[in-house]
Amino acid sequence: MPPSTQNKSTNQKSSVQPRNSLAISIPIYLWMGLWTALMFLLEALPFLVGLCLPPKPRGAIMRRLALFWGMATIHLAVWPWIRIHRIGAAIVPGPAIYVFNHRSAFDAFLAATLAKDLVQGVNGWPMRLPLLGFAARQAGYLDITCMTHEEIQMRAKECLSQGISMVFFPEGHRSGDAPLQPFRSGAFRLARDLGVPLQPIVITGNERIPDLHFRMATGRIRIDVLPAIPPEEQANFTNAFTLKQHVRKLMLEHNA
Amino acid sequence: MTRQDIIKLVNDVFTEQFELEPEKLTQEKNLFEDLGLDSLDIVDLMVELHKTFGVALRQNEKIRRVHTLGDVYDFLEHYAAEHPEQIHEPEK
Repeated sequence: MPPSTQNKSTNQKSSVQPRNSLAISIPIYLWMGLWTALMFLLEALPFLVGLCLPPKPRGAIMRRLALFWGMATIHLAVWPWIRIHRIGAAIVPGPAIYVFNHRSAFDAFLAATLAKDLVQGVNGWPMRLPLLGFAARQAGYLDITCMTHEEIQMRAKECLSQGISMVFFPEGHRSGDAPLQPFRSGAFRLARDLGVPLQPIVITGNERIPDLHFRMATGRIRIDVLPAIPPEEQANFTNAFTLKQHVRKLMLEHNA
Repeated sequence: MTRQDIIKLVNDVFTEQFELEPEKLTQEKNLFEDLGLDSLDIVDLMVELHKTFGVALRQNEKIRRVHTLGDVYDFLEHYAAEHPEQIHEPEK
């Protein structure tokens, strides 16, 4: 993408972004806090029961709880300040690898819009959060910062064979309102090597929800589901690099 | 094998296997920041360079110091000078 186009795209997004402020952040975080407390109460019993079970059913329960919590967060805990809607192609049925652009800390919750049994590849720090990090590990989420590609592939193979989808953010870290960052190849390599559909998903409107300093803003978040790339189409690409560059280009065309 | 031969063969790998535009392939370009490769892509690059030049790069410690496209040319040029018998001659 030529720099002039990048700047234009970024400027367009910035011009419609509301300002982040403490006055907005306080009520949103208070409301989210109330919902979080309610979710803790509702999920405490199944969480404790899940902890007593062997790893496989425990993981299944933890992923259900994570999905339930994610859905409650995006549909109830931030409403009416933040509205989220999904458009575009249908979510590919069965296990698949989903790749999202990554602008804000809220993006992990947005994976709940897929309404699927899934495991996320997480970049270190969320896995170290008290309780949440523990729950994520029990659900089988992967801390990709301390795993080799071979270890990730082994875990991904196990998950996909059990019908569990995978979610990755190939930029690797939050970009805020900066242009789409370069992609890492891991997720694309997994999709090719394991022969599963790859579905790109573009999130827009979340550049400052919250911003990189966790200050909130009001706004609309759009989740644009792009058509899935089936394994036979992925095989037309020379390697994971050309596949990732193709997906990145598609995302840029959708204002990622 | 001359430096020009090496540059042409390396650039052919980047244009054919990585589908990068020839005009992007200048010596100062950083493999990671400018060309968009990551550590896993570097493994693919080494496999392709192995096929082209016959040099097993993964076992070579000096490959860790390669950051730019110019470093790749320099590395292969030095390797060709030190081990001419191990380098595949380009097809004329």
